[in-house]
Amino acid sequence: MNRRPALVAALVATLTLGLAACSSDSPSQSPTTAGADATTAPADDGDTAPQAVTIGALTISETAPLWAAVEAGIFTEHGLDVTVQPIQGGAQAMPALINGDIDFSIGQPFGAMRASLQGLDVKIIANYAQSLTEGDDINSVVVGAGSAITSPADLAGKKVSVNSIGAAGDLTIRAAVEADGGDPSSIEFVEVAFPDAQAQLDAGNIDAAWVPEPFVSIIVGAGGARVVDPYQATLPGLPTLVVQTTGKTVTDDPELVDAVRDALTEAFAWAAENDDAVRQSLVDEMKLPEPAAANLRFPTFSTELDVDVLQGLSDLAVQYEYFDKAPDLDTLIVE
Amino acid sequence: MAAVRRSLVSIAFVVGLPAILVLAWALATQDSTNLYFPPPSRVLDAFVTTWLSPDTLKDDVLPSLSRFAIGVLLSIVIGIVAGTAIGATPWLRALLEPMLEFFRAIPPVVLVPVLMLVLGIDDSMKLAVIVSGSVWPVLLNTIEGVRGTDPVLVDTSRSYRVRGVLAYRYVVLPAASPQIMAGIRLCLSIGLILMVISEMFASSSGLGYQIVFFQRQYMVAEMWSGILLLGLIGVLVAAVFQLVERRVLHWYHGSREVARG
Repeated sequence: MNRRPALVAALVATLTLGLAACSSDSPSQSPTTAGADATTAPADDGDTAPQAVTIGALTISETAPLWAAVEAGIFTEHGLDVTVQPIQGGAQAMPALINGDIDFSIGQPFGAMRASLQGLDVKIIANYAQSLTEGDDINSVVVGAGSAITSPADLAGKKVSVNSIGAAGDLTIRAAVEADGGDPSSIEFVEVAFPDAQAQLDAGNIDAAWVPEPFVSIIVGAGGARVVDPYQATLPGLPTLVVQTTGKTVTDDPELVDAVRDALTEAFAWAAENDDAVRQSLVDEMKLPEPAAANLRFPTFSTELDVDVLQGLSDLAVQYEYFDKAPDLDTLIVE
Repeated sequence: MAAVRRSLVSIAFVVGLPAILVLAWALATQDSTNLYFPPPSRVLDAFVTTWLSPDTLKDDVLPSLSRFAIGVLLSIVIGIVAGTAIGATPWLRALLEPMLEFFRAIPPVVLVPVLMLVLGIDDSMKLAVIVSGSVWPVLLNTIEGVRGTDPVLVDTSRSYRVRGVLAYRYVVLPAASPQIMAGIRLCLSIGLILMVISEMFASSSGLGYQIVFFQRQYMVAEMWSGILLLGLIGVLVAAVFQLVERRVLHWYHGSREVARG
């Protein structure tokens, strides 16, 4: 009877020693990675060597043409040595952008407007991706099988999930519901991460979910239905992602901004011709299964900014009191 | 006179460091144009306008605090009741202890998606997150405390026929109470952290949700003011705990002082 505690103690001791051994390993590794960073960072010397540029991008399927074009060497031809830095979200990327840890970031235009309203020195230098003006859009409000919700007005008084409240998703849903004759203020929005939305729909915890591809296809394929594509219904062709940088970079290094914009334009033209390479990067970078990568719907990729649509987004945000005042798009957008 | 001086000195000790820190912060951010590090005056402004308005008090602060209170109370009750049962029954202890260590090691955050599926996305899920993390220190400390009851004390009380509920009430629980209170102290701080975390998922109100919301909206002073509020709640909770602990454990502190003296 007395032996068992001793055995447990011995087991715990072994585990603790093992853990201690693990933890003492890690500090010896960090200096090497720090050293590697230090050697890559100061590389903007001379005109012949490619200029080091760090672009922050979300790990989402829309980043695929960027990964593929970097891999294919499009940016090197424009004298740019691009590192794609994974970021968690627009708001998280902003401090890194301001500190100069990343030079450009690819994020939602709504976040950039919000940041500039709060006094952050952020500029939009190019479009990156935009929603589709016709056909099935790249994001949609979907419901589970057998739902009574069929039109936007039916969403009034219902629980609708978005990935983050206070952004373009819930704003355009409100507008679409009001345009269809529903009361937008009665919608109850909750935050549910895109991958969790289907399970929450099935469990009946939410009535409808706003999700992008590939989740739209997955939910519709499982018997669900599209209710409304809020971007297309309110602001057709609304940019989903834009390229952002700081005002300081725009003033200090306009050539760099031009080079990035030109390289990206060429990258998108190249990506349109090389669909296989782009989809292969989905498999390589996002570990997406190959059939899913082959069938994924992409948005329109383009560096051409549609300022009128952005103005429409800004007006909508003021109308629904998401913004206290309209952002000054003339200073925010640099073309 | 000496008494007055002594209390003045102790007050100075309590507020001294916070005052110096706020001063240092004010000096460091005096002409800061960095949005991410606003001066304290700006944060205080945001604090008053954000958290003291009746709407946020009603919709965010009070619901959060009541979830915290209910979650922590549940943890304490479950921890003490289950802990006493497990601690007093050797075979139950042998059966459950490895599994308890297993579940204790699971961070509640990773359980959130599972809890969301099982319990939905309302208050019960948030309470489950709080309880699933903060029950452990109370439970494990109660088990240890009950197990560690002085055998002489147990034998003596038994020979005086103090048994059953009576023995628990007057012998076992008091003997375990120093350990239990240490567990509750941990439970309170873990509970506060988990209250915030539980509101970061599938939520649209609450203190934790608001802080994340402000961060995403680049309303940095408001975000700092939310963090300040959390810290103040922590201080308040600790103060209340100390008052309660002194009452519950006055015999224990007394006996230790005697032993030291």
